Amino acid sequence: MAGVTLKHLTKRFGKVVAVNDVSLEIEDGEFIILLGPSGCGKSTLLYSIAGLEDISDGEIYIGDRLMNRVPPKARNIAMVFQDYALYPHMNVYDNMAFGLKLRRASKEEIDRRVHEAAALLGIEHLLERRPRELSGGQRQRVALGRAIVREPDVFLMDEPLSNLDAILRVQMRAEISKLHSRLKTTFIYVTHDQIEAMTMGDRIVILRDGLIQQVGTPEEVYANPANVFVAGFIGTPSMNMMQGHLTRHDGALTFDAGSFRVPLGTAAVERATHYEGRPVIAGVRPSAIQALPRGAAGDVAAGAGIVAARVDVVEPMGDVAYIFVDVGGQSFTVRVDPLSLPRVGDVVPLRIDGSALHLFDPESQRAISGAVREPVAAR
Amino acid sequence: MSGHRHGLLRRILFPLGVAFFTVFSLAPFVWMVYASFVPKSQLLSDPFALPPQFTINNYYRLFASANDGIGADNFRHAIINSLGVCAVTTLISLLIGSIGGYAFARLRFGGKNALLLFLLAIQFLPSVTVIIPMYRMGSAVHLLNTWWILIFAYTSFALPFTLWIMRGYFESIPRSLENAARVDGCSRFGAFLRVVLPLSAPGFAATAIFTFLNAWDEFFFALIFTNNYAAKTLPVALSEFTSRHTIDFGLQMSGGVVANILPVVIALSMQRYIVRGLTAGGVKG
Repeated sequence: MAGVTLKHLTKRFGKVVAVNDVSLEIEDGEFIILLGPSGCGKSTLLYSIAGLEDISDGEIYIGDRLMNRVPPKARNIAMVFQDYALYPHMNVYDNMAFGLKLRRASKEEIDRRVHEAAALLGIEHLLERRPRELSGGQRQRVALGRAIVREPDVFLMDEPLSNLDAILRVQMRAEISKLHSRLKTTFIYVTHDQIEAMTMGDRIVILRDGLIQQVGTPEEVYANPANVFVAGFIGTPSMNMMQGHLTRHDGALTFDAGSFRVPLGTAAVERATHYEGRPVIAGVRPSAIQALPRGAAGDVAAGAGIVAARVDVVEPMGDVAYIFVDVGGQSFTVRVDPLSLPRVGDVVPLRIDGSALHLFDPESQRAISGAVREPVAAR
Repeated sequence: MSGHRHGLLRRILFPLGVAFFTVFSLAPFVWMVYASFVPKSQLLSDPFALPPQFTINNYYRLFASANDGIGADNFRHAIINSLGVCAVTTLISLLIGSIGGYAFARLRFGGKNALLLFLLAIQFLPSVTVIIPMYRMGSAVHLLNTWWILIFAYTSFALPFTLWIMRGYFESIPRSLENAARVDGCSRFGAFLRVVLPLSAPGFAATAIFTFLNAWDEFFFALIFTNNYAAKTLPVALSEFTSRHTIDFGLQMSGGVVANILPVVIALSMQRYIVRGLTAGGVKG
């Protein structure tokens, strides 16, 4: 078992910089997620740690050992691939035993480890089968089993659940989390799915265009996104973004969107005072906007963060519902009670919680201040 | 109306067309087999006589000792030469073709695309255009009338095709399989040997068959580059049953049947690999 340290890691493909000066310290036994959209460099970073890609610059340490010139087979890592990568010409037993045979383990040792891993994953009855005879979920378990038998220092996983259907994905998420708790080995997990990231990881590394945007626990990146990209990427549906200015109105620092104003909460005022009179971007999560009863339409007070919004789309989703509304030409997503859904075309009053606003500098896109408490409705 | 016409086409015209081309293709072969068992006198006087007189004398003369027929005693040498040249050509083509095909499929290097286009272009080059320079090269290094000049020539014809087909096959194998093998404990070459090669067996079979059969049938280069039975191959040996003043039909027909046994057996037993080989180049090109 070992931690992983990356120091100024850079990987170029010709003129394209896939991984750009990434430095990261991963603790021994930590479950860390590399999250980002397609093409952000997360898989390239994972492959560089594995040694499957040569790096252009920087250093990689697994434990205390410098790995730059060490081939993949000597790094004591195990990897689970998106397409499982099971050897089609071998049965499940041989797939799992392959790495141990290459390391010249004894027959007894191989047999013991394969059966132990198979028992852990519930695939003992599949050992004689070929990969083509297995379902997607079974193949994924075999791929995990092949990694487990190696007893590596680090597990690397490249979007292992993306080829599974939704129900199986939820099941396997729990299995992998349980596996990590049991093995207590370092897991580095690549995904573009933020639900996987938020539910499985100890910490999340958010990447964009090869650069780290933010590193933090799921709670940190959700409650205090470091920039506009992270704020929009984390959370489903995405955070609503508004262009406006910070002004003073009736003595209170206020976000002024033109057609409405939202007074800021106290802590946000402390952090954002120096932005008074300047343009800012304000973000608010769908759960931080409250749809008021229709009878309250008369209380619309554009200066108090209460606005009238026309409903464009209604999306009931079982135990939650979302409405897409138009406020003075800007589109918002709002979480509502599924038991009292408005209709398309209705005008509903919305209250925007000023203490749940996230403020960002429009030029650097970085956060000025975060929300000081949890949004109005639980996430 | 169009449905009726379509039915007519399917039921009558299409089978007729297939039958015609089948007869057109097989007729010479069938005649060759028939004529190899008929005495020369009957062939010349009344080839369709019923009942025909069958004899195995043509085959006896083909393999008999010297002085029993025109060039017959050399036919056995020609068989050995053909087998040797074709087998070595196939092995060398597979060795270079597989390693080269892997490089094209997996490695990044300068000039790769230009080299691939060049390979494609030289497949269109008529082989007869290089016969004189090749003859001069062979003469300069004293390789004329040896197996090696033929192996060199046939390998150079076969390699572009082998490289192209094997590249297509390797590209169809997911990279993640090799990556998994490298993480599990293989070197890059080890992953090639233990994972890529076993999965490419159909591609190997297809290119081996094509290479072997093309070399087996080759006549022109063998005729120019060899002048005695140290290196003459079967096609040349067969042509020598036709001399300036006479044609030994019996030996020609029986020789032709013998020369075709191996290709027919290969084609019939390995036809699924031939079909796979024909389509392999189109996979993930």
